[in-house]
Amino acid sequence: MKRRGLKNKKGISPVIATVLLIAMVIVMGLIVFLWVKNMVGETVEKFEKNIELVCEEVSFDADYYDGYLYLSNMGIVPIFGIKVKIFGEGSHETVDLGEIIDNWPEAGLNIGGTFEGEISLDSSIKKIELIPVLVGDSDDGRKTYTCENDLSIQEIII
Amino acid sequence: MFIHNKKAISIMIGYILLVTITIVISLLVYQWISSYIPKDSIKCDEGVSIFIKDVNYENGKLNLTIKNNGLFNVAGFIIHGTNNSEKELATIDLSGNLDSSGGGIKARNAIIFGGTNKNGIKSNEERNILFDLNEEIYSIEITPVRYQEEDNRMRFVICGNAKTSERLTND
Repeated sequence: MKRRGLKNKKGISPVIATVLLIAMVIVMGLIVFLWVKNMVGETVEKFEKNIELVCEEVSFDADYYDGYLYLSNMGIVPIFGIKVKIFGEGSHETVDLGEIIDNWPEAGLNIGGTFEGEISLDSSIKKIELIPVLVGDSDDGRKTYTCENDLSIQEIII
Repeated sequence: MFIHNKKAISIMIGYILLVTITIVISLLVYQWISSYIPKDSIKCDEGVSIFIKDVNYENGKLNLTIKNNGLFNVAGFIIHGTNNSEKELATIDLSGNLDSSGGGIKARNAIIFGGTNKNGIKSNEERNILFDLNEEIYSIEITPVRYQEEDNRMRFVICGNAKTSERLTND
């Protein structure tokens, strides 16, 4: 078998090949980085840490009496909003408190702040859960975050 | 069998690729994990305590004497009230009813002494405060507040564990 010679074959010089390879790796790295970042989701921060950690510091008292909902923020985290999970007969739904109460303050419930508002609940409703909503900073500006962990949620039996 | 004239990436370039990929992945992981590193959350010191030494409620005027019986200085307190005996949670903010002829100033939702960023009520000290209430109050609840240093700045902290209450009227 004759060996084919590789004379007069053109190719890229090793230096240029190295530069190209490194450039390709950097571009691929950036593509992977952006892809993973989108997949993981945007990080929302509050008090210079991940807002999920701040949720654990939320502390508020709640009471329902005579058609009124009472809230008192005795923690160190301002509460921007509240989501209300309403449990009825075999079903539940979650609504924003601002949608069922007229006088929820726009800036939320500050540290040490209190709130009382009239809320009409159907007689079939057995209990409600109050889920705090915080506001933090992300790359795209201010964003809200709902604290779904059990420590933050207040339950009221109707 | 010898492998002559077979093309492959040179070892040097292989190393460069591996190191570069490792650096990129580690930067990704660091950026993601760094925000999850828990920092110590600011908490009220355990020895903080105030109590209502004396209270006089007459004709809508509330005269309150509080004493710092804790180990730490406090800045003041938050005062909430209820207007009937069946309400368990005190949500009427009485700080807006402060009578300025008495002691203290209103700051945020609290009554503080000694100015902002200062814990003006030292241990064993008393303060007298007057309130001009515009509705009948059944009971009051006071919670001490402090300024505590965190990351070289003073932060306003509510000491919810040191809350104390007092009934003003018989229902």
